[in-house]
Amino acid sequence: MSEPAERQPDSSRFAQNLVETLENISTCGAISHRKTEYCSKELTKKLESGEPIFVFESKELDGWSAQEVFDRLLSCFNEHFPENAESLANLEAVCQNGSLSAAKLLGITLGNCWSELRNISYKFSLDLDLLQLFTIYLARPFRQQMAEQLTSGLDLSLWEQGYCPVCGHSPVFGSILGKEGRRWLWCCCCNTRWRFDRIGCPFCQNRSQQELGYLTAEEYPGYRIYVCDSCRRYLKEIISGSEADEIKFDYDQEYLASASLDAAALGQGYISEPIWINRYDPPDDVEPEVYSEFKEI
Amino acid sequence: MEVTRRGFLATAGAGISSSLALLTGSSPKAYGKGSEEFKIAKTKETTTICPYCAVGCGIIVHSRGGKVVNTEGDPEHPINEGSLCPKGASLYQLANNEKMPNEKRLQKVLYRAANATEFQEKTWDWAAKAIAKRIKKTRDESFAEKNAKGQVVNRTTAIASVGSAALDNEECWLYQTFLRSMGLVYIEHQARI
Repeated sequence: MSEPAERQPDSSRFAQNLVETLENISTCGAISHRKTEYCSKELTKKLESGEPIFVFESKELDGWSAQEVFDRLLSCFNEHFPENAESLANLEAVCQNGSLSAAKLLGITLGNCWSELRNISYKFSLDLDLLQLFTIYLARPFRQQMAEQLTSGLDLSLWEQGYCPVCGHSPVFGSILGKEGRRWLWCCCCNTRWRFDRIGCPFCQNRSQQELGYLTAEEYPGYRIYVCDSCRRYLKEIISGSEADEIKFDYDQEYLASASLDAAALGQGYISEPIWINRYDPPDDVEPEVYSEFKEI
Repeated sequence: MEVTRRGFLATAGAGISSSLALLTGSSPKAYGKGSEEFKIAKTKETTTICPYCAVGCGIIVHSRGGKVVNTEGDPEHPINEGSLCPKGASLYQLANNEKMPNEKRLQKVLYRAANATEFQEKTWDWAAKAIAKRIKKTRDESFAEKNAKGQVVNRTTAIASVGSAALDNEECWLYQTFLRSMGLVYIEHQARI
């Protein structure tokens, strides 16, 4: 990417460090390499009906060292967020004194228990934004491994939704690849990529071309911010005219290092929802306490 | 009354992203300050069909302020799935190139007389009459009522027609009628070539 604008903090160093931390976690022995067999027929049925295929069960955490992942992530966050040092110190302290544990935090995240996370934030005076980002990446190695196992041999072209086919979270980054310009969306929670319609909002499924488009900033050639004027959400995307769809960007790096583009989108009046709770809505999924909190904004 | 999460947040008017506040070092309300430095342009994407041959490939037209800024194949179109032939791929040039109108395309009728070395600019009116005169002359000189075997043919083999994939069915019928009424038999269609 070209140099970020002067007034924006440089998030690319954090991005690089975080990517290295995740790579280290995958080789340090913290994660279990047990393989589970899944029924591809049932998974295919879920894909066809628009239901994410990952359902968390706590027994699947056997063999994982949540503490090891926690410690490595904490070290990375401490280096890059000195202004949140107090919150990070609190987080470390409550996990050390037994009030909370890395394993419990991991379980809450994998189960998408928003109200429990928020209660932890209040109870232990932990910055909620920081806690959200931290726990997303705490759970990432696990979700990613599950995603790789679940999607192995599955035909993801059956998936037509805007949210992730594995964990149901909304995408945070996308790409348009090859001379045919196929669009791919990416989930930062489990590192899954999937195809989606070139013209369409992955958040509200709007297909009205009058209300869709993209923003470009001269300072960031090769990037677009796709926007929807119906729901006002946006998605950053990188464009590559390369012939091969096999080009794999480092999406974590691209997503985190391009924070200036988020600022540009927000400055134009578009909105960004917290990743933690921006996910698939099952028909009976209503959490009124979430709404009352956001009413204060 | 039940409200879905998506429905509520879509109307909340403002949202925070957990990563943004940390990564940009600013609260949501301060985002506007940083973005003033960027030159932001908004582009619309509209799907259309290639105007050339009858294959009807899907195309995405990028426009900004009503002006075409880019064209490319539509990867979601079942016919071409994003690929384009050279004619479709150069569709952008129909609208503009570096300058408007496209200076690499002819804008006026140019005529070079037999044995002349220079082109002259002519009007469309002049051109239409000149073409009609030449068609009539060639047709009259080459028209054959009967062939060598004495069979009635009523044809001319001195004129051929190639085109046009951009015509609709009714226009094609009119065009065929016109050509065959003059006796043409060498009638070809560009989409077959």
